[in-house]
Amino acid sequence: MKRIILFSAAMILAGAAVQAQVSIGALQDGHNSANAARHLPTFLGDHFRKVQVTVFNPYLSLGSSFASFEDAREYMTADRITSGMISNTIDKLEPEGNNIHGVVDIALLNVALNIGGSDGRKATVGFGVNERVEMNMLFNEDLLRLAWNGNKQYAGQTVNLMPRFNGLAFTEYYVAASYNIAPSFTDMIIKPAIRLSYLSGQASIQMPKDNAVSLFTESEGRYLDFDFNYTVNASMDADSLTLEGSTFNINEKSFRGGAGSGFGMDIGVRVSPRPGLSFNLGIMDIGSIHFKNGVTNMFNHSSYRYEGQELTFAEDQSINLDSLAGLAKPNYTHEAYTMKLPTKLILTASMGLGRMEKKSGVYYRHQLTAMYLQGFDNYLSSTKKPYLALGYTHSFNNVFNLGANAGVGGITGGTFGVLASVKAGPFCFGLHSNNILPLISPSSGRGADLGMLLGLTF
Amino acid sequence: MLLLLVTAASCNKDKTNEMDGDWLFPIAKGNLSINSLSELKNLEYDVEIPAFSIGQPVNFPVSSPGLHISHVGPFGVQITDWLHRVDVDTLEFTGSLSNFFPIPIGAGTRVSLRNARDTSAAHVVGFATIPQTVMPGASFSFDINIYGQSLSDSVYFTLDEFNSPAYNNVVFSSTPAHLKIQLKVVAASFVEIYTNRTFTSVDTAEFSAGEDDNIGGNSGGALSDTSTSGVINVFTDNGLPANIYSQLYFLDETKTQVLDSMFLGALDMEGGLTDDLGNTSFINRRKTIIPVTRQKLDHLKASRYVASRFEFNTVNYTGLWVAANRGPKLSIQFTGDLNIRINF
Repeated sequence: MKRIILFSAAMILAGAAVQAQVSIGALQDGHNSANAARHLPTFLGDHFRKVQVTVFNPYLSLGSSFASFEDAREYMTADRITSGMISNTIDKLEPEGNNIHGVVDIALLNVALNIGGSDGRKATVGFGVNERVEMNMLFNEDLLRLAWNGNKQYAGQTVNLMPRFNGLAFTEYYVAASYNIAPSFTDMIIKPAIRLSYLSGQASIQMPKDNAVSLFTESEGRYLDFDFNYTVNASMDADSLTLEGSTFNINEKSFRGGAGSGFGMDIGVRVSPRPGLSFNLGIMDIGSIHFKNGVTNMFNHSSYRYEGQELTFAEDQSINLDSLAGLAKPNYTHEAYTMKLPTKLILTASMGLGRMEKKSGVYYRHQLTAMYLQGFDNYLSSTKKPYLALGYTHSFNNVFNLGANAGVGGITGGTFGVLASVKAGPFCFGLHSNNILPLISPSSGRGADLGMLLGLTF
Repeated sequence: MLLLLVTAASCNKDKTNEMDGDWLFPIAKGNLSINSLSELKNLEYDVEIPAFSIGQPVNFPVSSPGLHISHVGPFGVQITDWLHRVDVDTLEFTGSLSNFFPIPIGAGTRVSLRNARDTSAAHVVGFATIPQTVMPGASFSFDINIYGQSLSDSVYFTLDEFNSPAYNNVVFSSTPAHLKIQLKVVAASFVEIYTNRTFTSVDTAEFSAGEDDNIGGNSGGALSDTSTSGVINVFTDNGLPANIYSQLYFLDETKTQVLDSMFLGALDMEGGLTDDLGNTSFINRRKTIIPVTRQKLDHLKASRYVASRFEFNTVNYTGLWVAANRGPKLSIQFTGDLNIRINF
């Protein structure tokens, strides 16, 4: 059960979103190329000579598209949660597409080896194991307005109540490779890269995009029309989920893996017209996981008009006015299903100024980085809202790197992050973030993230 | 996120939080037609059959080579004082004949129900035949269904083909034989009701208002100190040719204590109109608003039975009677229009 709680807590507390799972803080830091390569494989082989190893590098992202950390603090510290507080929060909601989103991404072990070539960097291969948990929930403003303010405000109207929740926990075992193509007549380097993953799905909850549960309230409340059209797929290894009345039951689970399996792929290409300037294009998280163990499909595709408990005025009648809760009861099947990965397009550009050379390699004292991120769906760590970020990193003798970044768009709207990393001999340690805005302005910061670098390079 | 925040914040038991919503929802609905009238479900009659009805004197020794009487009776009873005619689809005819005569009642004797005093076979709507001789002091019980018959305001019982074996020096007392009859109109297709009459229909049903939903919190549930204000709307569409006054009584589990009533006074529903064939020609529609207090909701939640009392009257209707077939009905629906504030 503890694992369930941890899983739930991870999913809920990670209930957040910056531009989860893709951190410009990693991309802009030369010391952090191992974690950058996990986002974009064209970073594979950067900034080390022979071998790069990272162990247990966690990344956590929290946020939402509507609630600020000030809101959260107000709720947690208030002596009394009033309907006014709730109304204020609801007033901040968009009519549709409110997003709660989060990621826990733990790079357990990542190894990269530079091989071949006169400078030892002609090609790079890598392998590793990562643990990833992602979730997001989309919902309409009407859902919360209805829950907290009742349905009278919707008299004579139809409202869609169905939130869309998706959660995915899996382990990825990957191999990666990149290759530097250097035409002899120019300084240009073209670097294609690919990462192929075997994915071991541990658990998932899937709500397809076309799910809907609508409620129509007759203008005088004489009937409620429910239109159910939903499917919820869940896989939690050898156990099941049930929905009884208004209660969602998750029985004792064990996340030992093996609930599903699949393959993933990241591809990218880098073009460097000259040393210090590069452009990267990548598509991340192509693939899917097929869940076939411990699968429960809950569905209800029906319509129902509720006009109240039926009275017969007969002696043998039993009147139970609490009968409404049973309407939404789903049907159950146990058919395998496929959960796609949150595919994204990523574009980056970086320019180094102040080229320096050390025994450990070339570095730039000033590094400018730009990133454009575009998801293909509002799903897990992917969002259709584009995110654009700019970052600057200053390297102090390639030992101590300090940087800052700022972005607009995405789920949380605006971000400001910092990074710091130290390279002492073969050891690298650092922290990076896309968003520390809640620390600076809690009333406007709607998300936060933090990643850690811990590695060795030779 | 909001739900999570509120849930997390509410974990502090020293804090009280509130949830405030205006809810509009149907509560219950039902239709009352001529087939819902409980008074037609339990019509009981006690008929005494004195010795003289089989031609025997009392307190005087008599002998006979055996009796055979074509019809004993008829014994007439009025079905109700408000019913002029009822056409039944199904009528349950049950009863018992207790033989307090000093002679047996022979097999083949029939207990007949007739729709006229006339003893011709054409007016028999149902009968039960005694299969075995009923000895003095014994009784014969029967239970038969009668289909598709028309009854007037009265019905008549007869013992047809009454027979008894020979007897000698037998003294009949003044104690009559006893016919106990119960008629239950399972389904009627047409009724005619005298005008300017009043009759009632009372039923009791089990009731639950959802005690486990924690709203109300009398039992210390997770939610407590709920305050509720608002109204219950009662929509009535009366197509029956009768004015109706109704009250709902909420009873405790012993059925002996009235915890509350739904309406202040009674719910007044003016009658509709029907034609001679009993079809509705006018429906009287009304919306009645009942203020709701937290106390009333608590009483409803504590209630285990609800007794419904419908008083019908045909006052101010013209003609000798009004008619209704199985179509006309009183439709009644309760909806809630409540502001519910829950402290938790």
